[in-house]
Amino acid sequence: MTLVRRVAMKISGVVVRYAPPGCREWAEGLAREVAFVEGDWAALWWALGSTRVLLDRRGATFSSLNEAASKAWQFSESQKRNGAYWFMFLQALSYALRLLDARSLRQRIGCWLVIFGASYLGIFLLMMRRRAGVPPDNYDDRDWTLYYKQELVRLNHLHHSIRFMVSGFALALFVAGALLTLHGGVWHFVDEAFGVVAFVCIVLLYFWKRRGFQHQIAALDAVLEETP
Amino acid sequence: MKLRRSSQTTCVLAEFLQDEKAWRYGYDISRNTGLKSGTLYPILMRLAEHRLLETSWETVEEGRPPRHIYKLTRDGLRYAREQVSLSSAHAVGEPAFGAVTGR
Repeated sequence: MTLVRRVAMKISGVVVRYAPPGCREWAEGLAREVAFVEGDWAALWWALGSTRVLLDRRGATFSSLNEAASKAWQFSESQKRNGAYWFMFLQALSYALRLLDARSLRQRIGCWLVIFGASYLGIFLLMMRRRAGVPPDNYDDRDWTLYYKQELVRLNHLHHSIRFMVSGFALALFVAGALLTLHGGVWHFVDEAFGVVAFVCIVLLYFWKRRGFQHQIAALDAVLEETP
Repeated sequence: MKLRRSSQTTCVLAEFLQDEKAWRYGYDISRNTGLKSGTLYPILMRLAEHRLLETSWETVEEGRPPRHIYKLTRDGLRYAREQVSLSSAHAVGEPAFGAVTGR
């Protein structure tokens, strides 16, 4: 076996190891084909193409209503533990204390931007938690599955609300403010670039997770349809 | 999730219609359609998600791991025929050299 073919198989192996649960079978299928691709460079391109599977966020499909209900329960527990709003309020408090010590106008503006941005985001996240659906108080698998689907649909449509758009603006204020409070100097532009990249990554992460929600909703619909 | 219609999906469906009853390998479909693995497999995954495609594993040679194989379901065949004929109808409807004038 040539070096190129071995590299191709190594890449496929990595894809299989890190593929999301719903794509593992497909990642395996792609990896098995590498041995049959004609031409070593074609095999390498095939393996590189297979890395696209890593970007797919589909979870495993549900084989039964009980499995879906179990996942719904895990989701409900994770929502109870979600304390992201506390982090935002702590950030607002931290920068309020920094404001007392701010020496330049730039740092003072930066602190205020973070306080406004973090406070809004904290309130937004707290309200989201309060608006979350109430899980069923029974052990019915169908009820729990419907509750899970309802929550995923709510999260999937979050970006349609004005509150969400304003929270995006608040996030931008938070990042901009944090950058302004940093000391200037040689690394100033590096910090700004990092801040912009971090903001873009957070936005992309939301839409990437949203794709995962859509796959989960389709999987829940399939299991609800199959079960009378 | 709606199944996204695209020329590449139609191409894959047309390839399956070449031999409706046969199980196909991913690499063969890629070779015949000209689609790369990163383009082809998301299409196959979407088809499977919508229950239009069934998958299986086939042992080809002893000592070698099984290969993943694909075949359209009955719904998949119906969908494929619809999409391919729609695609042909659009292709026929378009004039080759622009609109013909009344003169």
